[in-house]
Amino acid sequence: MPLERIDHYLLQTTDLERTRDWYVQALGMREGPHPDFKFPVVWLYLGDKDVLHVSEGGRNVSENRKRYLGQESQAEAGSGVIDHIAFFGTGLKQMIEHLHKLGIPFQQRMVDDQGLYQLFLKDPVNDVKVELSYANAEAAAAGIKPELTASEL
Amino acid sequence: MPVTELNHYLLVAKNLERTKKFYQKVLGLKLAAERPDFGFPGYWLKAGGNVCVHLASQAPNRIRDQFLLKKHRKGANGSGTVDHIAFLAKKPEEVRRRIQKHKVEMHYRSFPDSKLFQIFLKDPDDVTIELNFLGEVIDPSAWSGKGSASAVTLSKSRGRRTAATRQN
Repeated sequence: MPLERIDHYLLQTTDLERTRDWYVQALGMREGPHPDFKFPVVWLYLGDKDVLHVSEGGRNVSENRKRYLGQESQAEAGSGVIDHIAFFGTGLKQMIEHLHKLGIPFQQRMVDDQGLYQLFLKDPVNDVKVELSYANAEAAAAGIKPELTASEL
Repeated sequence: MPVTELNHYLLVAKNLERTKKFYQKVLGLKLAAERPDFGFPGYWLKAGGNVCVHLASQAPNRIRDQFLLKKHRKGANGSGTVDHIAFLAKKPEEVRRRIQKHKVEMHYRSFPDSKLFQIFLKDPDDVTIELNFLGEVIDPSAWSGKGSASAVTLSKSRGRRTAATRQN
């Protein structure tokens, strides 16, 4: 259950290339590998760690993205373009039990080719989407199944 | 690589106490005792020993707006409540040259007492980015003008509040 660290944030933008170029040029991030989500994404790295995920936003959102991630905000500027903030943790089974016990709704997703298992929930006060990311080996060991995997899109 | 890692985000909460409880009870983050007195209400929360969530309140507060360099109105929700995303960085001069080369406007802020230097800038979608240079004390005169729209130096006054001095 313990969350160990902040992991990344996801920006949705009407101009994927321009946003990528800005983070690469102004902040020195590096474009790197990402899973195949069946919708366009760019992952940007600092050192060996992906810290910023960029996908299409505003009017330019694909159906696959909506199915996998939803679209919380139509905003095209300001912090409303942040779709979610992610933490990495261990203890997936305990976290699921904990959320059930508190009656907090969440969605489960899996990115098969990256070994990621994701829980998405809302901070109920501010409606901010939070991702809790775990190694999917934990899910396999505990027999936990997602509602949707990226490869099904 | 001057910008080295993701550090925290700051959320301007509709209800500060309830939001703090959410992060503590639902996500299991720990309240950090080391938050300085910024002169406006808020909390810092830790995951795995690192402060990674900063909370402030939407209740009107002039010092908060001065500190965050923007006016926060009540009623924001969703990720619009996120004020900024923060990174750790090194080599402020190099980062400044890089930012200026790309003609991006920036603001900077110096906390000489805590040996912290910060640069604020906006990404193309108007998201505020904060860069934290730990252990850096800069010479304010060397940083005024030229692409830095404003500079604020914060030092501890005799009172409880942190004093802000605005330059250029």
